[in-house]
Amino acid sequence: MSTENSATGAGTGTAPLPPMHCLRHLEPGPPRLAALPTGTPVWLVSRHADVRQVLTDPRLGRAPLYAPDAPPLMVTPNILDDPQSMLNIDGTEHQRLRRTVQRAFTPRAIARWKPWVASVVESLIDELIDRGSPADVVGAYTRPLPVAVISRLMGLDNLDSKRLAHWSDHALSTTAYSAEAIGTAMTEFAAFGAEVIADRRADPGEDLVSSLLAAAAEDGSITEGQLIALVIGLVVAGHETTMTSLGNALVYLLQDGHEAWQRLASDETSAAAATEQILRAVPLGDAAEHMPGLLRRTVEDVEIGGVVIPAGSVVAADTGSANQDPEVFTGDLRTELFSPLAAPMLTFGAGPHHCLGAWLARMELELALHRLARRLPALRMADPVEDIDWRRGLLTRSPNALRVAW
Amino acid sequence: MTGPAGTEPVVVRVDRDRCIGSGMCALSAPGSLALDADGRARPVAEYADAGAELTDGLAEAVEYCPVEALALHSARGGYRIAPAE
Repeated sequence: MSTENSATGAGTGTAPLPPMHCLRHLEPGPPRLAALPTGTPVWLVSRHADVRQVLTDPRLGRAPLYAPDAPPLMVTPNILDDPQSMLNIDGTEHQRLRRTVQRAFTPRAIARWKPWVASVVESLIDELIDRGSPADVVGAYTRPLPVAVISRLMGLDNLDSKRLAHWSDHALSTTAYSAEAIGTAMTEFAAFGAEVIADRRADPGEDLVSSLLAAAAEDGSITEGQLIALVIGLVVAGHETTMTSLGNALVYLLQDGHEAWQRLASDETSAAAATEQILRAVPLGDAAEHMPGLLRRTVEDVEIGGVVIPAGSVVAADTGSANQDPEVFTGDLRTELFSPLAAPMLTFGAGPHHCLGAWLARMELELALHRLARRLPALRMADPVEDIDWRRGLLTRSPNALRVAW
Repeated sequence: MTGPAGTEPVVVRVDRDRCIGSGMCALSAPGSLALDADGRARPVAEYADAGAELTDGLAEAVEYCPVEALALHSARGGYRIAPAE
């Protein structure tokens, strides 16, 4: 891949990182062998059809990545490596856990939140305008919006945004923090999750945590560790990726893609189409040397794209490359921004582990882009793109701050 | 699993453009739905065409589909039963 992503390189004197919409992708081709930073061999899968197969074929799973005979995956494991988490179990066990939260995240369940999310968007834009031009759109908009939404869904009224940012950064760290620092932060974060669970058991409400606890009690098979991992996983996943995507979308739309800003303001349908294309074409992260794709492990020999991958192999499904596969997608963001997707994009994955929050993320992004363009038609970046201070050493990359003017 | 007594036979339709192959339905209702070789769901046995009993598992599969790609229809009348329009 084309970029460095080093937490230690955050100071001055390093070459500016390219914005996320400018990253070059692996040319899609047949599965090929490479290695993870741990030295573990990994099959890189990059074509659209092959990536989709890796994610949906039951002969590949997440749980085998954490089996006793599994090779090391990460030099410094983070929250994604918790074997108890919903991400890392398969089959019926996974389904029983996912059932406790799935009903709250179906397209129609999410659509019911739309008026409320729109009201949060509008009040954040009011505050941004009150601060006056120029202002930091990350601090005022792209970060607080998803935090407000997930806090409301989960009933986390007193969530301290500084503590949340601390935990989230550690949770998705590649090189930014030591194993010890990550361990300490995750222990604190789990204690927070356990507290929320205890609180909701004592005093249930209408929130997502209360409903997942009721569903888990009815099921009877779900462990306390799984519940804690689920609650804190929802907190991180519920805001971090949406913030990242929205921040990077604005880096594109307020500079290279600025001619689209007026049309984004015109109607929600255009904003919805643009959201799909941005989700397809602008990746969440560039830490490919640490995580070259969504990892799976084969439980038997599997033929993928004409290559037989032996049982027990680690496979990385490179959704970024698949989302740019010229066999499937034509044109670039500039020409295709408002066009329907030629095929399903794989940013949210596919198969059993398809992103739970996909519809929530889409709705937040659509509303956030449409309403911001409508309220601030002359919005632009106040500083050159080369001066962006990026969040580094994490699985995701987005601006720490982004000064905008209008 | 048994469905509510006296219900009419149903068929299940899969929006294959929408299906993301979560496989949740094939786990909940293995007698009604299966994953194809391409990783997308399809109705099996009588649920594809002639119609059969609405089981709890099938009702659950339709309710829990992450992308709402499944719809239940009356096998005789053809009208949609779930999800509600």
